[in-house]
Amino acid sequence: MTLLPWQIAVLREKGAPLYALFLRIETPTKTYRLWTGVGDFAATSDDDLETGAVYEGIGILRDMPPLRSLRGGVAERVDFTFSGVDGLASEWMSPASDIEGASVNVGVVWFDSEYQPRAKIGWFWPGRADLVTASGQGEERAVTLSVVSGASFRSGSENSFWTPPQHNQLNPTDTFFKMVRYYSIVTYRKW
Amino acid sequence: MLDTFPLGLFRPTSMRWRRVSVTNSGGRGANGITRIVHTDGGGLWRCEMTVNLFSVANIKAARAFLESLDGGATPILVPFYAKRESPYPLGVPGADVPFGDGSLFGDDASFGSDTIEVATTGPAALRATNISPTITAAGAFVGGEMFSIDHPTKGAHIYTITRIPEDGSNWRIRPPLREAVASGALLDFDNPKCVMRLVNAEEAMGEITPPYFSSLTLQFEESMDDVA
Repeated sequence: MTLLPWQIAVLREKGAPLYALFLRIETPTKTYRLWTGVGDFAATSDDDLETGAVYEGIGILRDMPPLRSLRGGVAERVDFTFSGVDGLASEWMSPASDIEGASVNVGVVWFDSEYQPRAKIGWFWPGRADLVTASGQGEERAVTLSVVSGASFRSGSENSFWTPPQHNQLNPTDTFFKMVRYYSIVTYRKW
Repeated sequence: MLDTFPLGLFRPTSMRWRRVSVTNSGGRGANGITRIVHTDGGGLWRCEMTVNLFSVANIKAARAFLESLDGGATPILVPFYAKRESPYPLGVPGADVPFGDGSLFGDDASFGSDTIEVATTGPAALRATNISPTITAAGAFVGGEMFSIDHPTKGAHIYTITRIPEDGSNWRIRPPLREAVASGALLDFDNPKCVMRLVNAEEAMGEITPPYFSSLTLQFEESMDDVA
């Protein structure tokens, strides 16, 4: 059966073959906003906490690492790679830098056939910036930001926390933690 | 202020403009279909051109031009050769006008006279892919025309008309607008230009062969950095 142009357009929209990934790094003094697309992307108030925020697409973000679904207390450490010639190396490796501990979020936007976003940025992966490494291979310079979800310490393995509020957020009707309050030995963690 | 690639001095023997995309594949499915997605939000322009250098003067000018680009770190305005394509009101481009004594500029360029006058009817947002034109002086548009908009922050960037409805009210363009435009923004069809960087600086200049000829093979890529 030969498809009509409007049918092809509908199928193309349903297939949503256009998407881009967004990266938001918030330090106490500055927020870095980058995306995998070309040029600027104006975020709306639904996308970002800051009105008028603009995500830059000038090639500073080089690579998005594979990300795992963080459910049930799973933790992981991933490395994001950035251009090493755009000032990030000097900003982040300075002794006065506040990049360590910065909140890092990864989101996705699906576009329609006119490159307009179908919905707000879907933030799906949270983490904290940990370690910055500058490297060079030949004429190429890169800055790698190691980001961890959960907790990490200089010694020992990575730990993660699984708390009743976290579980309730993902599973509002689940009563798994219902009896926790009756335990005789319990640790309270303040967030 | 950015320099403009001197098309009058370096006349290309070939020129190709194309929009480069970044795609990801989901692999080949069980039915043989490969799913492909774009992740670049619209792609960016790349221009490749070849210029023959048949004189010592041309070779020296080319060398000076390449050195001024600082290995590709310095952006430049690269014009799209529109004289054969643009919809001029009388079907011919505006005349090239020399100085009063008949001389030209040092790079053999002359004063240009624009004849096509088109502007946006209303404002258009950043990354918009549809603009509404007000045509004051132009020939017929059929789609595929290239034009540029000189954005206040991002500089001049080139766009292509991909679709024109029957009433001509709203043009679909690619790539998406690099910056929001105000109502009345001029669309330059006479001399479209794009802020670009040279990406093959080391290989741009060819060997010098007897009797002292050479060539330029240039690859430019659209620059998204602010120019102001």
